[in-house]
Amino acid sequence: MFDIIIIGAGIIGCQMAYTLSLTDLSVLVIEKNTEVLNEVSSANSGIIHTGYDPKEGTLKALLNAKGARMYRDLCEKLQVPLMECGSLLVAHNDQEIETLQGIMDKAEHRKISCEMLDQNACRKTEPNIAPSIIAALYFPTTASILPWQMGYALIDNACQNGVKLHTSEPVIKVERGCVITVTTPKASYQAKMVINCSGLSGDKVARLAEPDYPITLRLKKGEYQVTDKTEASYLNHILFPLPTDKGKGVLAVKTVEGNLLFGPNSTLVKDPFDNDTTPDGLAEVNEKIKDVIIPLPQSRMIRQFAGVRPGSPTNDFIIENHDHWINVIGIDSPGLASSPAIAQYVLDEFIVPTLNPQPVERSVYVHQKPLSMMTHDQRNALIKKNPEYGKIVCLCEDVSYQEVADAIHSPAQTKSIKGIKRRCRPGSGRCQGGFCEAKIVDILSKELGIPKEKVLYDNDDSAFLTPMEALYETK
Amino acid sequence: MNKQLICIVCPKGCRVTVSEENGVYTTTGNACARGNVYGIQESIAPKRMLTSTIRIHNASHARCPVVSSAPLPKGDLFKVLALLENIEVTAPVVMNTVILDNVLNSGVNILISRSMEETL
Amino acid sequence: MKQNKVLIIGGGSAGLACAIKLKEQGIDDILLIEKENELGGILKQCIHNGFGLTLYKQEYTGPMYAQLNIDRFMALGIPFLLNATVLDITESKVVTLCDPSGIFEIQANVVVLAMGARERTRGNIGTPGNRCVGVWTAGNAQKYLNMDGYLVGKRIFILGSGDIGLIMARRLTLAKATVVGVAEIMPYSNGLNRNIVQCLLDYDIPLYLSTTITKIKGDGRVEGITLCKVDENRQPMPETSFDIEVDTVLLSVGLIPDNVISEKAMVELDPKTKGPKVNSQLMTTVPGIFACGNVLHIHDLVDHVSMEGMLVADSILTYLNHDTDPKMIPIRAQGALSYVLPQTISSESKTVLLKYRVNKPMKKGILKLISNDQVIMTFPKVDLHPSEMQTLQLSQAILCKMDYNLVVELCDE
Repeated sequence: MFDIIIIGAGIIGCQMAYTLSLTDLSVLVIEKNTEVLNEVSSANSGIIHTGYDPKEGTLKALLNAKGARMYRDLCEKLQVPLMECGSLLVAHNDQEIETLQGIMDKAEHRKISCEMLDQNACRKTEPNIAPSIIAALYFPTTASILPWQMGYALIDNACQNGVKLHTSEPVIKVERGCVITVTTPKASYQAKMVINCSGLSGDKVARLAEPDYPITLRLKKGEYQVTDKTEASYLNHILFPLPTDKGKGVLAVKTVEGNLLFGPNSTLVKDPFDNDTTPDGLAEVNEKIKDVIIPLPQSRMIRQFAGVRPGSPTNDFIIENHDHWINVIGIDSPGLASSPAIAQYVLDEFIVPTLNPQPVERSVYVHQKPLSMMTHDQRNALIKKNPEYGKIVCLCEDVSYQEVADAIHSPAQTKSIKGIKRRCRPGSGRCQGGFCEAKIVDILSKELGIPKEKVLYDNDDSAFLTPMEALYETK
Repeated sequence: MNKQLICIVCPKGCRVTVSEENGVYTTTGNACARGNVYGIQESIAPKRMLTSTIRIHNASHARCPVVSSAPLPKGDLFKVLALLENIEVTAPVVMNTVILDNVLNSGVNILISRSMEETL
Repeated sequence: MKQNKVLIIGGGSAGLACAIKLKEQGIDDILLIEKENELGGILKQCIHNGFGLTLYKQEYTGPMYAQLNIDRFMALGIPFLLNATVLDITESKVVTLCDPSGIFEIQANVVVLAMGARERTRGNIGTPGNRCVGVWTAGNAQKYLNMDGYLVGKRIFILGSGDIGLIMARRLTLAKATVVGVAEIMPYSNGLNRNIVQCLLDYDIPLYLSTTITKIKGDGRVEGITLCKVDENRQPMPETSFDIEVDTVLLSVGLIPDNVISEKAMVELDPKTKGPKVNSQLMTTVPGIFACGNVLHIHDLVDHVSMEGMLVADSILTYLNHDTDPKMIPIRAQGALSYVLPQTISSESKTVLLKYRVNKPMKKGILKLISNDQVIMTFPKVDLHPSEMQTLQLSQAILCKMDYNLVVELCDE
């Protein structure tokens, strides 16, 4: 019996788990995939929006600015890198400049600092900016993170603080009574309250609790191009075109690791798990990016990806308590930026009045920072203690054998190639696994004590190596 | 009889025409004598070099490369591979060691293709 | 700080050849740095034969060719480090390394870049579709199979008819996987003719020319691909699309010289070769930094890689004896040429081996050497193909005729 069950370990679930882990409540997180942060959270722009954009009176308006302001302290506390590069909202003509003026007023009203830049100032601060841009609104406090870096820090701390995490367990049944019973193929669990933050499955899981739940999520797919980190100096700030009713538009994003993101476009999809990239989608990204930046050729891209975002029909977050069942769904942009405030809101509005949790003093778990970011002396001290810190297995990102082993054994654990890629970078670089994937397979096999043919790429059904001998009998 | 083929003896890949008349074979299009030998052989009884791997224990990797000492009859390749499936070696091994002698009575041996040291 | 006269980055065919020649010429203060736990480079996984015909007049398998060099290297007692990765290098040749003993710096007099190449990836070419497991570069699949004994899939399609793809088509078939086909975006194959025969024709594996993959389908694992014929601009023609069921896609779409380290040393790169610009001594634009092998430009034959390593060794001796090349002549490629290497030569070089690739198949062509707008020499050429690197030896007599600049032009007859 738990106080709280959280369904879904995306960024919202991880944030929720962390926030609750600072209290005396007993918490179980149930995640359907093998790895946490596997869906929306690992396929978005990663921007900590300042909060000028959402419509007045919405939850988005309330929680975006609040959440954004919480980021610096949170990142410092958990040692999560924050790229405080600021952003430019660009204009190509006088009409757009007028729109910028309106946004500037809105931002100032919300106490978000910004400054109008003329064409020269734009070019000076952003040399590769699109030549058609004549002015821009500069927001110094816009930032970006790699969402999974924050997510892992949150869930590792939650686990260290006593939160239970079960992965590879999709929720298949919910029963309401004086307690809520949540059933997966493996077991049934009971809790006083349940928080549904299951992202792309948000409405379906809500219907497990309430068969007549009326909301159907509006799913939008966005595609991206990604460059290698060696292109980092091509971009200084995050670049936004003016937003439309389709969304924030095709952006140029600077990330903490140096990779640049170009995207997303926006298409409505029916299938929440249709995250294929498409020729039209990538063509749209390649075309529209020219509105903000001088484009880079395809040969300088190292990857494409697509992410589906679960929006609500009202275009606002759905955060509601239906008799101990809390839905936190329809969390699309600015969900990442709002996430610390969302968790606080759920705690204050719904959990405190019901369960009266008490704060508990917790020590902070900080995962050892990447050796690539340490000084030579710090690195050598570690290598002297353990030579496996000196054996580089990922050439592109400078990651050692032991760092991969450490990632596997972190509090929230990692057991797949994709998980390792998010945890500590192998596979994220220019070689896209060409040099390193076989070594990561070796390490997973060794550290988890499993044969290589059982090493997973992603989910439980994604083992991909077949020993040659297995085909000896068949032909 | 005229047969067109591509010589595989060296990276040049000459287009060779093999003609047969009264049991005498001639070739045109080959840039060297080896092409003549290959063209005729290919027309009568095609042969191929075989390279593959065998299981090895206590080495830096799980497989050790092997190579045939000379071309084998093309139709026998899978049979030889089947024989190799049952062979295992243990490091250390030395390049050019024979692991299958006169395989399928072809006069061809299968050799180890690299040296591999013992590792822990 | 540690010091070394010559630091060689890379223990594959180029690095080994250079080290061996240097030591044989009496240079002792060498350190060779290798990132893997064994010497030999990529040849260790190229278990097929076909290596060494030019240099040794014999055909070796990849591992044998590597072994011959490793044995000579070890016999000469040249110092080397394994599991050692170069993290940084400055223009002044301070090299930062990391290995299991620690992270440390070495000041070198001479640095040899011999890091080889990496494979072009799906992300570089932007193939749309699902990103489930089941897509690898052909070389990666080769490593899993030949070194570790694992197949990455059972029903395989290969994109790209370069030699790596063709070799893997055969290898996978011999390992009892089903290779369903090979697609090539150009109207001609990129691999050697001999490989078309012994890898595709021998096993009835279809080759689809002027065809590319426009979509990879799958859910958790690759389930199939959509192929399309392409027009003369290599653009897919959607009306020609057809689907094939496969569980694996291997990409053999080219190699890229891996020059991230070279760029840190402020070495100028040639966008045509993607490798460092070099003079006829294979010295880069940074004095004392040399380059050879696949990191300089992509080779088809390892024999040329070894020869470049040996040339670098000779050049280093000249360099260390403070002999400088007085008049450097820039070379420009024109016409149907993808590139020419070296990018500069000295008029006082005794002889220079020019290397070039054509950018389209040519049955007949004329190679012209032009200096100061005057044609100095012409060479009729036949049967030229982009997949085969060509060479042209320039004798002293020809070099003397060059003044100020050299344009190498290839035109149709």
